[in-house]
Amino acid sequence: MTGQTVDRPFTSSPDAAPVELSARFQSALHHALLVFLLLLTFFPFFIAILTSLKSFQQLLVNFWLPAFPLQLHNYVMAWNEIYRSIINSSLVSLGAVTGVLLCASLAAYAFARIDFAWRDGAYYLVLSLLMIPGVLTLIGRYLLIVQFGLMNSLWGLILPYIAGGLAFAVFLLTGFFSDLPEELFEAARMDGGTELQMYRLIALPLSRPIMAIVGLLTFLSTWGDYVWPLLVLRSPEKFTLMLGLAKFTGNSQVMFGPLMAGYVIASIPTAIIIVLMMRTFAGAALVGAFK
Amino acid sequence: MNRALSRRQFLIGTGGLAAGLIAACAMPTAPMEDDAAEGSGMTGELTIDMQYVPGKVTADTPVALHEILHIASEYEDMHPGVEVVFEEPFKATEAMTQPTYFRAGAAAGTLPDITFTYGLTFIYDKDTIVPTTEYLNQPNQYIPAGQPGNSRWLDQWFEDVHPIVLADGNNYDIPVGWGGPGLVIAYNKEMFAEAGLSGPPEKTYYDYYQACQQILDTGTIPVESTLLSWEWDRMVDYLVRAMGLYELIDINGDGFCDDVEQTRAAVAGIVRLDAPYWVEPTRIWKEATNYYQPGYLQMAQTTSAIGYGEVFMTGQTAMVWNATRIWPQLMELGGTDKFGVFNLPRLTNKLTPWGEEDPTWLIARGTESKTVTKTARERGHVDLAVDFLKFMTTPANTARLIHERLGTNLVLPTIKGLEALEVDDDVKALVSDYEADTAKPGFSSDRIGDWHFWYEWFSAIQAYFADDMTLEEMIQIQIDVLPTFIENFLVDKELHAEAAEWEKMQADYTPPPWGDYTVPSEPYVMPFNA
Amino acid sequence: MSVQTADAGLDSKLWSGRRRALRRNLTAFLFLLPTFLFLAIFMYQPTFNVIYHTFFRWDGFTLERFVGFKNYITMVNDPNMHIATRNLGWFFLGWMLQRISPFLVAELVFNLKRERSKYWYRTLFVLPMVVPFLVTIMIWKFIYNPLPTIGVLNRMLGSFGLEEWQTAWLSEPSLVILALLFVGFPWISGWPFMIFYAGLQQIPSEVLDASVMDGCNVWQRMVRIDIPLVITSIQLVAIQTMIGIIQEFAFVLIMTAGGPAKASLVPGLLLFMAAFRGDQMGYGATIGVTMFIAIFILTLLSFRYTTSPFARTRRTRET
Repeated sequence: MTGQTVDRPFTSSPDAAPVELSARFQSALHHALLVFLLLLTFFPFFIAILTSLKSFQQLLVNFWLPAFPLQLHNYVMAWNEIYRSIINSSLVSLGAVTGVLLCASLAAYAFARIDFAWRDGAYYLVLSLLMIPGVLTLIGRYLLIVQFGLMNSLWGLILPYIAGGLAFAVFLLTGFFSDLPEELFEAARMDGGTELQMYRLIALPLSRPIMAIVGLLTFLSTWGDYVWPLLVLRSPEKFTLMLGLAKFTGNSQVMFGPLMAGYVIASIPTAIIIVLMMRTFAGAALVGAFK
Repeated sequence: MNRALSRRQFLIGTGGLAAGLIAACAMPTAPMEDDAAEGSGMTGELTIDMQYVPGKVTADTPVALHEILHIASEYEDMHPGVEVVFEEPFKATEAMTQPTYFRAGAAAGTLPDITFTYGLTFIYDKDTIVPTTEYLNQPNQYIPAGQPGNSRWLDQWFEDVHPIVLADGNNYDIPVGWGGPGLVIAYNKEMFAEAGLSGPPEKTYYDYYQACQQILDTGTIPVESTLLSWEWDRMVDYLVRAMGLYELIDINGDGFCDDVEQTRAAVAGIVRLDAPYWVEPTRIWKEATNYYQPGYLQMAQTTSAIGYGEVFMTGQTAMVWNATRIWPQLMELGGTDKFGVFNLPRLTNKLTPWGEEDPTWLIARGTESKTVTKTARERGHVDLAVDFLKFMTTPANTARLIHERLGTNLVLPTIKGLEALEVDDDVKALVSDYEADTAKPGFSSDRIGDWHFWYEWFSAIQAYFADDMTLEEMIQIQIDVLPTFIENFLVDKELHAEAAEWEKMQADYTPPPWGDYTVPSEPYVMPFNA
Repeated sequence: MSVQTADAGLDSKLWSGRRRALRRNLTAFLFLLPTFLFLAIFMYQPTFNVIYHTFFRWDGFTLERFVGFKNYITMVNDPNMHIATRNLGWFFLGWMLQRISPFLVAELVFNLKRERSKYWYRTLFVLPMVVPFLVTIMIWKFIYNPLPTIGVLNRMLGSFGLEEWQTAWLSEPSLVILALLFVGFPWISGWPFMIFYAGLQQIPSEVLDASVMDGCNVWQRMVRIDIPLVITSIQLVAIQTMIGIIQEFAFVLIMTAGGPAKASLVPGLLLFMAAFRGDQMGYGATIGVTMFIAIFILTLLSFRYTTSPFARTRRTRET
């Protein structure tokens, strides 16, 4: 059903004027469908912003619509809780992203492009880590962090985050590296390029979109994590964003206004990163351009 | 050239990363608790978490609470070399509940020296907290001479909120000077008036249900509640006592039935799942759910998005169970002018022939307490921690802590010498019930059975209430699951030798005091509707 | 180095082949070293610990008693496990379709003509990823609220005169799975969208141009060209989704706690309750390891019936 709506705008149609009109109409339909989907997708976003501007009473009375007066002090409350943790969270997330991208791209290049002994075995060894439920290993990892003396230190977040993000990153990147046309590498090999050069000069530049996706996923998951910092961090000056916001979640009640305000503030850096990152997707068919 | 460079970069890159990793892991921590080595006892950094975040506005404390910070700094002034550090209280998440957090912290040595607890059975057997009997029998030098507690610390609490004595005969916690008043019911005064009710119902379930019926007849949903077993649990408690079983279960006579005592009772045949005290409350409860809001079967915690109490707070039900959980919000929405509060009713023989005519009132006192952790012992902080708790729990300091909370939280004193405390009239009614000294801690049926038992029970209740299952089938499911639990429990706690003795006791309880009672097949009917 | 190998090739092709293989292995080893260092330290040790303890009565900390295969036998005979697996089948179907459906949206955006609109749609479809899932759950609890005065769905039914259809959506055993599956409509989640889009971008432009020349309409192009060429992306999303679905517990726990009367119970929730609510980490681990085996087999199957991620390289190398 959706398929039909898809194909209409593009049915290639030469010159005739009535067809021209219908093409324009179809293009409008195309946009209308996308905008409709966008609105639905954005709905939780709107609700988060609306809720962040309401008091508890306003939220009780009226969930769906804006309520006046706007409770801007929710933002003040949230900001007071989290302004110190933004730097901590940024350090942790950027550290994790750098580590994951560096290690995973190297490993994925080897898996996708070097035909070495026990390749399948090693690959499945990495992949299998995705398949063990994380809640089971949580306590084991925690005791490990304590043994290493990384308690109450940001390294106690960054290093396990890198390890935790690697399996999935290798999985994604291997898939994409192996989709790159072999001819590119063959040509480079003829010219005497080493694997490291091919990794650096061919695979990496061609995989900017997927690297950006991996980076973004790592960033989002570490930025919004709550359970692990809760276990590792003790001093308030080292807290990450979600630990600061946890004050607005009580035993049976949630202060939705300040909590949502905090989420909105916390999502601004992420939103900026997404907007910038999507530029790496610019330019159609990347691979083709290199041929 | 390019190639050589890139290889060097590569080697530097990977080697550096590996070296950095190893260095980072081998690197000693930022010194967090060096004073473990000191072990001298009365100096160092004492870590503590409260039930709330001191000095901050949070969801649980709509008004920031500072008094404990003042008390701590006074203590620091009295004891140079001591620094009291407040850690954030643990918040349960989906992946990390409090017992797990506690055990992980104990295993890793990362708990605060003093931590708060609401229930002890999950930790005492793990050697994770320090027994407190010895300290509670010491004098408390911070209490003026002549006042209760000065010569023996334990004397400063009301008798029935004494620290819990577990089956091994030890105290494991130190109650703070206040408690939540347990599972109270809040009511909407306007809606009560509309239904022709002038105030809270008389203190029996019969009257309470009659009030519910009266409200229902005016077209209003009487009560917001959930499928957590509060109502049922209290009723079981009354019947256990009415049938003279309580003393048989509570071996050590501390007024509290812990899990060992209850499992022993199950092995000995005192606790029986087809007995009237277990079955009758279930029947009554099913009938009582007619007074609940629609969708109460949905889940354990909340039926709504905003949280527990939403239906009541939006004015769609006249009452709400467990109002302590939403008291700060009720204060925000109109306070005691709009909302009243009353203690849970008693189960009498007007609802079931197994009840008493005028039973002793049982009030669940949600006593909050402190424990000294294994981590404190490892750091050599036990004496310091106990000394600080002695200072913190004196009547003078307790009064300060309670006063500060009274405006927004429903807390009541559990310590002697605080009679002059200012309390709202509606809340005072709770206190007067409390001071009548008929209050007894509950039987707490949930200390029998494991997660599996209770999950089966909960699912069966859902099916029974949805009329997908008969009462008899439901009881049978529980009876089938119980032996597995008992077997595992006995093995885990190495109680097999004792269990052999308990089994012999079965002879003493045949025939059971309830005679030839069988699970009734007809539904329960409220007597005023019959 | 390549010059050297070329020289050596004159002496003995066999010898040079071995040296090349050795060099390849060494290079690959160095490439993999950082990853495996991290994984060995932080992932494998706890994982093996968990697998080892499936043969124990284990509470995760101090209690540890060898019980052989008892946990596995208990699990196979556990009626809850049977119910949970059956429920999981429905969730699996529904959620799998949901996760793949952003492919259509990716096609819609990819087929726009202007680069600028492509950029904005792309960004806007990905942007809601920053919204915490809590918000979605809050919204859907409001929609499903059983009270006709609050619940959006019930209120809508009421306004259409369909009062008899009003129900407590999440406490009706026959409806609860359907209701849970519908949460998040229209299910456009950011990252499958991005993966699919990145996959579409890797299709060489000549192929796209050629398809237009041949007069393919978009529907035909999608089925014949796009899907076969981005099958790796689809497979990545499918595998990751499958792992997520089989391990799922948090969402069900928050929405219904597996109820009513086990109608939405899933294995992940059993695992979670055993491990964290019930002190039975050993039994929880047993369920976890069983999931692991199931996921592993399904992954291998998916590689067999589509393409292994490195099949292409191997093919070219060996010829």
